[in-house]
Order: sequence, then C-alpha cells, then structure tokens
Amino acid sequence: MANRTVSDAKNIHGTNPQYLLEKIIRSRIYESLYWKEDCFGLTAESLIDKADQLPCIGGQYGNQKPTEFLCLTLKLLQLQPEKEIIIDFIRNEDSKYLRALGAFYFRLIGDSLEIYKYLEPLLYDFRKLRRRLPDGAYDIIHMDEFIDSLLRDERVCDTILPRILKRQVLEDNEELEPRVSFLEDELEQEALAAAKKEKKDRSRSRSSSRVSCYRNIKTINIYFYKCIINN
Amino acid sequence: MSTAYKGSEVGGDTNFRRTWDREEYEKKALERERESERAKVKEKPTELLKARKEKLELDKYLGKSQVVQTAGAASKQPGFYCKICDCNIKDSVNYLDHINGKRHQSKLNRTMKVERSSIEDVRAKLAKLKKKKEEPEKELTFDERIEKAKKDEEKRKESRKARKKEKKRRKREQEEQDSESLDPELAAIMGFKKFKSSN
Repeated sequence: MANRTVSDAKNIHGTNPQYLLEKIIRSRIYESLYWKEDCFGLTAESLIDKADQLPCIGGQYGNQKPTEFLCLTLKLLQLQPEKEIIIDFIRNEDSKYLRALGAFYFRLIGDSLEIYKYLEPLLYDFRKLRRRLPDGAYDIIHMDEFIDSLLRDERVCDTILPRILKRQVLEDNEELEPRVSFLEDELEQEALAAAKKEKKDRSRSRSSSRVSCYRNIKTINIYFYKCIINN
Repeated sequence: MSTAYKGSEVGGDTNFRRTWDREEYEKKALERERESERAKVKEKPTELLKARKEKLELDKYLGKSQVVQTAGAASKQPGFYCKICDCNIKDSVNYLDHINGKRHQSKLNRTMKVERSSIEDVRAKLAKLKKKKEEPEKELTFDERIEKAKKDEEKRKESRKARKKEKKRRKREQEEQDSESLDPELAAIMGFKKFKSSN
C-alpha cells in the first residue's frame, strides 16, 4: 500500500518510475527499516529534511542492505515531484546530499539534453561526499567526481542508469554548445607565456620547457585549491 | 411498541393458533435491512496520509525487565501494543507494517494518499534550511546544559504529577456516579449509605 507509486504518475522511459531501480534492490528497500520507519508518508517537502541529514551516498553495503540514499531515491521515484522541484534541489547550495540526491534522481528520469544542462554546472562543486562502499566502509569522493560518474558511467550506486546520448552527438546536432573547460583561460595564458619564453631563450637548454610545464601543473593545482576553499 | 402478536381471531377450529400482524413485521424487516445496509457502507477516511513526527523508539525497552502476562488484556502482553487498534504485535517489523497499514491508518481517518507538495512549499522549506545553516544553533556551556537538563526533569515530573491527579479525580467521579445511580431509598432499605471512596 505504502509502496505504491502515486496514482497520477507519468510513465518514465516507458515504465512505472519505481521500476528504474532493479526489482531486487527495490524489494530490499521495501523491507528495510529506514524505509518503513522514516520514509513513510513523506512528501517532496518533508523529504528535504531527511535528505539533508543523509550520512552518505552509495548503493548497497554489508549484507546487501540499501543505503538511505537509495531509499530516498526510491521515495522520489514514487512521489514523482515536478521537475522544477528537482531543479531546485539541484540548485540549492546549502545541503550537498540533497543536491547529490537531486542529481542522481534527475539522471534517472531526465532526458539527455536536460541532464547535460542541469548537471554539468555541478562539475564546479568540489565539496566532499561520504560514500558507503559495498563492504560497509566509507570513503570520500567529491561532488564533481560523482556528477562526472553520473554523466559517463553505466552503473552508479548499484543502479543501472538509463542510457543518454553522448555529449559529442548533441554537439554535432547543435543542441549543445561545446563545453568550455574551467581551466581554459588559465591554460591559454600559461601556453602563451610559455611560448614567449621559449622564443626568448630558444638557444638555452631544453630543460627550461620542462620546468615551465611543471610550473603549469603547479598553477593548475593552486587554482583547484582556491576553488575548493571558495566552496 | 405494540406487540405484533394479536392473539386468536375468528376462525373455525384453528382459532387456537396464533396469527401475526403482517404490516408490523414488514415494517420491522425493512428497517432491519436498512440498518444492515448502513453498516455496510463505512465512512471513508477524509484526511491525507501524514508522516510521523516523533521517533518510534522501537528499542525503548531494550535491556529492561518487565512483568508481563501471557493471557488477558492485549496491552499487558509482551510485544508492541497499538493503542488505536487495541492489538499486540510480537515483533518490530510486523509492528511497523501494522502502523503503516491501511487498517490502522483508516482508524486515524487517513487515506493512503500523500499530499502533493507544491513548488512554493519546497522553496519555503529550502529557504528555511538555508536560514538554519547560516545561523547554527549556539553551543551551550557545561553549566547551561546541566541547567537545561534540570529544567526538563522538573517539567517532566510536573506533568506526571498532573496526570496522576487527573486520573485520581476521574476515578473519584466515576465512583460517585456509581453510588448516585443507586436509588437512595433502596439503599436506605438495604441498610447502607453512600459508598466511600478508598482515599
């Protein structure tokens, strides 16, 4: 009863949205205590609090137990809130787990173009996320890594992601602008500077270019570091 | 109500048989039918499903010993007791299934449908979250925490006292009512006066 999809839900990718999680995982979620105790009667609004309090992201762990992250994903699939709500989840800056949840859900239900449009800006979010590993231990990944895996990988958090078009295809169809790297300016300047220097002391030994290359990498690192601090 | 039995009427040698008022019985039968139909159409729950606010505390009695009865009232038996349905459930998983179930929820006048939250609700909630993140709760010092714990304890004691008082009062009232319902004349004849409450 409490596990049914809302009656006015639209089909997604041709099926009931809840079927986007595999049957076995779904039934494990229905059996899990977190689902029965905490996810009962949630709405898109009250789900925000639960998502904010998530301890980690991840798929199944230990004795094939689903994480809270997966439980809430299934809840979202069940409730099927409006797209604007999910976009608000993704755009919020305060709760990183809410953002991760929104992104994961959006990757499951969205179409290719929108996925690139709304998820790629999150590649500039370098905050840390805790991830539960299958053996129950935790490790740290960053939001941009997670988003990158959502855009590229087939299987994230023990869930098969629906196929999306390759970015290249969308670019060729002129539906998407080519992506500009965050480091583009930096790299260009560095390249210019290096070229100038090369011209200047072409007569000198070759090791100088290697040094400049090394310096390049270093500045990039510093740049990243700044971004992380800013976030 | 007039009796439906009309007694003997004129008639040959069968007048010793009882005859029945057909109209009266027809009316009765119709009424009975209507009643049973009304019972069949139960009132449908009107409210929407709500999430639980408080924690369930399924492990509240973990590591504690209790005196229980194996027979008798459901509330005294070991297990998880549901006040609303007056039933006792033996394990936590089944208890969760019960309180999430349709029967239990319909007793609370709730359907199994969840409210659909609008985008405005969600935005308001997100704004609240933002505010909360910006102003983290101020940390209490050790002394302040002790003070707070003391106050909480006092409050709890007070409420418990009030509850006990209320219970006693209700009991006394009940007893008085019982004694009043006895006819005073009859009581006088039988040789006893008002009941005294035990305290």
